[in-house]
Amino acid sequence: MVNKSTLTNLKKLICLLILFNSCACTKYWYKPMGWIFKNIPKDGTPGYKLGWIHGCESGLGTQFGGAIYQSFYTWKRDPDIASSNPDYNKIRKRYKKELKDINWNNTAEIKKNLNDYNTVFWMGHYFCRQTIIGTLKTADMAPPVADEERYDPMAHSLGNIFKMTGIGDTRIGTGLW
Amino acid sequence: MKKIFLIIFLIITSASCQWIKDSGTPFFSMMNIKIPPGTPTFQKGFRDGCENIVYARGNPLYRAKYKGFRFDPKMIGNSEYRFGHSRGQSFCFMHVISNVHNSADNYLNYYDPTMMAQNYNTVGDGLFDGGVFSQSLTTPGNGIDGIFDVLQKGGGGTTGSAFSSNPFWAGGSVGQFFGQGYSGSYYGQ
Repeated sequence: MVNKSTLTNLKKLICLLILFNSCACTKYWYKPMGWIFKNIPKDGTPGYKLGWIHGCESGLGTQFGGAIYQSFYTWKRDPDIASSNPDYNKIRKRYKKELKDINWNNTAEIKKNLNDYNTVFWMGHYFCRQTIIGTLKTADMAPPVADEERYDPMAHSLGNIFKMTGIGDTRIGTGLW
Repeated sequence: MKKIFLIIFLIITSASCQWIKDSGTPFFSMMNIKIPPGTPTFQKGFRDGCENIVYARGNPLYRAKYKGFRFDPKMIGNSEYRFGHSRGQSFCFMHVISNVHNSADNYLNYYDPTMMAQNYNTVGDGLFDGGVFSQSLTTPGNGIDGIFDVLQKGGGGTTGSAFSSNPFWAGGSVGQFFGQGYSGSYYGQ
């Protein structure tokens, strides 16, 4: 039987957790490693930003992140933007909000944005893929190979990233930095 | 005696004079990486690329020091910047993954509250004691032999795979590999 004060404390804790999480102010604050989307450069074109977000999601959704991250993220590259002959109208309708600042009457500007998307996609992909593997390696967690067991609660606990003896060991004189 | 040591020391250190020539070269802190000579655009690209990967693959100390993703949107059309960026990224990648290691006390059992050092034979799933090297080489499904099970049975352990037989034993005892047939007459049978 749970007493009343325990419930009150639990409610407070949940409120605090929601508050802390929402402070992250990123699009994916509710997903694991959602904070990484704060890395998006502020002064990029709309195409640049969209490409970075799609690249980052795709990077986090690779097998480097393992089963947990793959459940939250997946391949996001837009085939129409990546196309050699893109249909501008289709793209404009699909990303009304994200690409609203593009002047769709200016072909040069559209092309620039789509080029930015395609260039930055791989930058974001690489960065986020390396960041997730870097984080997991702090807990000695190597990327799983295909068909390996999906989840081992002992070895794959997310809390392991706080383990002191992983690659991320920062105690002076132990991890060689 | 002190003078002799001092003279030898000076001769050794100034032999190449590299440290004088490079005294103004910017270094990446905590990394001992020099930004290579080149145009300012190239150097900026190199620095940004390096910072990217040092943040991504470094431990929390590096993540505190460096700021994360760096790729200047204004320079996206500049091939020199992009070249520097890619070079910085790949160079620093090799550097950071070779320098950030597991800690020396990695063999302490994390799940053991006493944090006592463990028997080397039993850590890492018991590599030598109960692990693959401790078991018979010839017992099917165990030890080294067991490693090939996945080749024979597929990942699920039940279905067929690329190899229909164990490469260890595939050719019997006459030296074939991967189960290719052999002509009995070759052996005079």
